[in-house]
Amino acid sequence: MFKAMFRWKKTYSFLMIVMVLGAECFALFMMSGRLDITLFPLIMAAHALVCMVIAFLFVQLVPDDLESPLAASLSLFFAFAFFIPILGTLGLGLALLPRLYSSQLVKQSLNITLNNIPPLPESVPEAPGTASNGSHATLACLLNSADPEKRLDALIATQKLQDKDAVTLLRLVLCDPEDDVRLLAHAQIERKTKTICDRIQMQLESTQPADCLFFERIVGDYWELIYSGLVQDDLLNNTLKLAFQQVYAGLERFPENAMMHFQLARLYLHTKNLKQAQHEFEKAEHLGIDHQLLLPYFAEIAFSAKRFQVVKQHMREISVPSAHSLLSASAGYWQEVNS
Amino acid sequence: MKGLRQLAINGFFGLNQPYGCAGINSSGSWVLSIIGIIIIGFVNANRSFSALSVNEFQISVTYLVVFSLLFTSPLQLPFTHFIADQLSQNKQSMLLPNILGAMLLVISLSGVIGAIILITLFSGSLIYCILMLMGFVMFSATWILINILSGLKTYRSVLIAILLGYGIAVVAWTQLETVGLEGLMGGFIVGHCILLFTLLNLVLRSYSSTQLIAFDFLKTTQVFLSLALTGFLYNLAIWVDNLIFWLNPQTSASIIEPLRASEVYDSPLFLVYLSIIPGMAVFLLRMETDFAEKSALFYQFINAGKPLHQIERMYREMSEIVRRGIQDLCKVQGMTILILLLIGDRLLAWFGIPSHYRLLFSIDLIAVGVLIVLLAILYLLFYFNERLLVLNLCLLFAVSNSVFTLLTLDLGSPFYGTGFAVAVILTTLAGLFLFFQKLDRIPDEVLMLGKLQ
Repeated sequence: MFKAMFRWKKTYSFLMIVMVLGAECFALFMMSGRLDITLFPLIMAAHALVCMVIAFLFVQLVPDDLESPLAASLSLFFAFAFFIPILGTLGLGLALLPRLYSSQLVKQSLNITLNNIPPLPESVPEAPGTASNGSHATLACLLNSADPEKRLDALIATQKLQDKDAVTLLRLVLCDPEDDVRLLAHAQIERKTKTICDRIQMQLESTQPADCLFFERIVGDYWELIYSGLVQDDLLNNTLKLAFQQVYAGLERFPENAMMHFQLARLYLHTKNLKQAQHEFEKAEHLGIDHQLLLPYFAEIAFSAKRFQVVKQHMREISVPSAHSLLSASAGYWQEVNS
Repeated sequence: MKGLRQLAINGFFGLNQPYGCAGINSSGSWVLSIIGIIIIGFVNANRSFSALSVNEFQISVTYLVVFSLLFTSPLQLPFTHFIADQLSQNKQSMLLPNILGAMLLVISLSGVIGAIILITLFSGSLIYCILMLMGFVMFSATWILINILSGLKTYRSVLIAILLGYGIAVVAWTQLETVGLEGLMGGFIVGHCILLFTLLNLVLRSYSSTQLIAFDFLKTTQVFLSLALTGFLYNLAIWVDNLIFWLNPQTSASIIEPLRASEVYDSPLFLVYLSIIPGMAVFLLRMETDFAEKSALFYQFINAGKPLHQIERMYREMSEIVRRGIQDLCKVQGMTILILLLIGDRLLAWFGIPSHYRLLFSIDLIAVGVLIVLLAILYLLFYFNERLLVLNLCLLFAVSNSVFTLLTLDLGSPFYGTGFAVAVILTTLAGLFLFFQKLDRIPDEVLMLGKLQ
């Protein structure tokens, strides 16, 4: 019944506008031969009255779910009707009314219920650079949050990061006062370590003949444990020892394998054997490893040896920072220093 | 950019569409109105109306255009800026209520001010006065809508709306041709009304909202006084020489009390303004496609902390496009001027302008050719958010145009038009110097002072 009344109110308003407009047109037509400047005030007063009625009727036509302050809406319709006599009402009716009742104008009229969006933990400014840097910084900030729930959420979110980034963050909360947070961090580190250790164990127990790929894989896994920081102190030394053993064994059988020379060089660099690392990287390059790939390592060796001119030289050579996206800012800095 | 791109890929038959639409839209509201005035004169000259009625009608419409542009100019740029701000903040629902709010403001103010002027100054027939008031209100509202739609790159829709509106005006004249001046004005008002509400419909169709009307654009944080002043000075600078000639009794004659017109100055200038379209089209197409893309990449590279050599490379490409854009503009405009100078006599005869206007036509042609470079410079300076620089250039243009035009009035008829030409050349040279200085400073400002767009 209310719906019917509502519809009737709108139809009534529309018909009234048409009638009022028709009456004004008729009045103008009747007076067309006698229009004089002396009649101007009278005509304006009559026209204003008509426009007030039209504006009121237009307001009735505005859908109820469209927020429309009465005074402003009345003024809008009145202004169009008054200053653009007849044509203004017609034009506004044709341009605005179909839009007022189209489904796109009032989006709220759609029968859609939006679920509440879960609150964002804390607004943290995005660090310049890559997206992973940004999310890394955000998560690091959240892991220091006062709210244990947010720390827990952030901890779960680290699962999406690369192991090296994730482990750095996980180590931040190993001393967290909340048991849940601390234990979850331990569990995640443990799981990551176990996955790699299981893989190494499987390869060692494999009955297949040890080819160069076998050595590359096993040294690669040891390197992952070392590089990601999953092993520390004595365990780290032991892992390094095992990695060296495997890479030496591999090189004994495949002395011309570039990848293994590269892996050995990385291990030397990690243990600060700079001269040997340089020698092994050069050998790897001689055997076919791309020079561009080795440039950051050469730069690192030069930096550790405090030969900064050489660092500049190597960083300048990094012509394709996109190949080392994380190095972009650093390479840019050294190039600028050089210039 | 997207709008132009889409137009550009519409195949062989659509090849010239982007240039045409972009040229007509970008050349400014006043060029659109001048096209209208010339078409009206051209159509009516070939019909049965008396020459007097046509002349009175053209002068009436010219006054409506000039004063509605001057009246709405302080709102045009700040409102376009407000719309761009809302779009960049993804607050699309704020657009529709504020557009209707701006319409209410413009219609009410123009209606009241127009009515006061008509009551106090005009003494013609009542119907003519009412039609003039309607025209003033509708023109004022139209400029706001055209500005929004041009900003949204809906070039083709605006052009179709204009053709529809003026097409209906021509049809209306055929029905009202016995009524004289009122008939011409009535037909024009009907056509313009169609144009206004077609544009309003285009705007309404583009956005949705939960609110009918709002006035957020008037909040102090949203109002840029420098933009308002720039808009006013720019329009004043464009029209001030005409106003001076109209107000001077020696160079003008009363057409309909109190409207005066300067036959010795107006006729060739309006025709010459049309020469702006080809050059502006070429420039705008280059800017809205290549330049917009490179400029966006340049700032994107800086924000992403890319290496300096990449940022510098992007800056060099961006500068190159700007320089090439200005060069192309000069080439196209130069060619247009040369062709028009060669066929000047025939062109004047074709539009019914006496041949003794040839010298003024040539001076105006060169002045308008230089003006287009100034328009391009202002466009680019706005792109780099150099509001103060644009304001100063518009001030220089307005002041120099006033001063030099007043000087040429004393020097006599052979010098008419040179005031405008000297003012345009002076402002353009200053603009070019300041712009290239700014262009050279961009990397330092962005990287060292952190002036990001």
